Amino acid sequence: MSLPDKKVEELIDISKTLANSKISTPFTIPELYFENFQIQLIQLIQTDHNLIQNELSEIAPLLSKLEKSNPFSLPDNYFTSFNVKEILNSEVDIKRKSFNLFDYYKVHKTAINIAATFLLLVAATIWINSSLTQNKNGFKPIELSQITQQEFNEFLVVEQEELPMEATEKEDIADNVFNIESTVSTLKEIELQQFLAELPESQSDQIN
Amino acid sequence: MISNDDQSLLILFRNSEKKEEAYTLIIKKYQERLYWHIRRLVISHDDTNDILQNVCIKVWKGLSNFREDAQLFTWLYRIATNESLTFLASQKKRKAVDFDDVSNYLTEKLSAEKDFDGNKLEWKLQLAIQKLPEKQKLVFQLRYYDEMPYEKMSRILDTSEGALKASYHHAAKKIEDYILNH
Repeated sequence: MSLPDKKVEELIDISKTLANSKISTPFTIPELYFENFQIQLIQLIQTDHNLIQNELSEIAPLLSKLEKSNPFSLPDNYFTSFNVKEILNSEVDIKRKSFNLFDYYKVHKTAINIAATFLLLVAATIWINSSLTQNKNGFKPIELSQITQQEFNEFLVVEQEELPMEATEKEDIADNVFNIESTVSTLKEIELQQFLAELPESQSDQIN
Repeated sequence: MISNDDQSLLILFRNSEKKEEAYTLIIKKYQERLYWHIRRLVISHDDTNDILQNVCIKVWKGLSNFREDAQLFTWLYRIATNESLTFLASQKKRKAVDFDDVSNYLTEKLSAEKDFDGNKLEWKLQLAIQKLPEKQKLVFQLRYYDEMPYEKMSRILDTSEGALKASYHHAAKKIEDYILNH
């Protein structure tokens, strides 16, 4: 085998001996190697296939006899229309498509826990404070001196109606509605003076 | 004309002017195999489409650093497998379900497929596959559908060949029992 002319021209400047010598490869290959190469390759692939088939027939004979059909459908021309450039441009991220509250919590766990603890403490404080200032009926106590005679009597009448009492008992109570004047008349003078001293000025004037 | 072998495509990819062309050729070459591998794991076409797109993005970002100590095909399959498993794990967390419910979830997805018929053998086979634990399912699908040698599978799944053979053995037996009893 002689060198192509271009290479001969190139070699002449470097080495005349090489340029003029006939190039031959010393290596040998089996006869018809390249002709048989494709057949050998197919046999090799089939060997792998046969190997896997034989393996399956030993493990699960019924399964090995089943035809490997694909039951799944997909949209027409899916692969021909699959555009990688568009994908790179849009960089669709399945994770960012839908907001996942659980994932959000995982990421901001510390901040959320601190905020939740703080809110709980505030709520607990408010609840404790309000329960301390309320009586068991949920009413805030007011000073007795702020209640007028009429309000007090009305209160007793309402209470009387709500009490599960016999009719006769109710009548007794109605007769004995608290009367501040009769009560005052039974008080000793010194007790009365003490009482008046504790009253606000406007109410003590009324009584006087 | 550009040669379609992996070596040539990777060399082309390293040429900054031909990078996109090479990447497109790589994806075209493997997209169908990757698609069906993912589809058999997650069932739904829409989910598969999303995962495949994610795989393509990861391939684009990672191909420059691909060390070629593994075959390109093995590397791509590994990405596709991991993305599919990550997707299934996220479905698990989102619905706060355990394995059995994931299996039921995939079975439901299967039942929702077009032309699904639980009495037909090909669908029974799919139902049986969905009942398998995750690893066994993976091994079975790679061996049964892709006829992948254990040696290659071992590199994709990072598991010993012996363990893979055992998984395949158990999976095939369970599937056959399911088909016989349903």
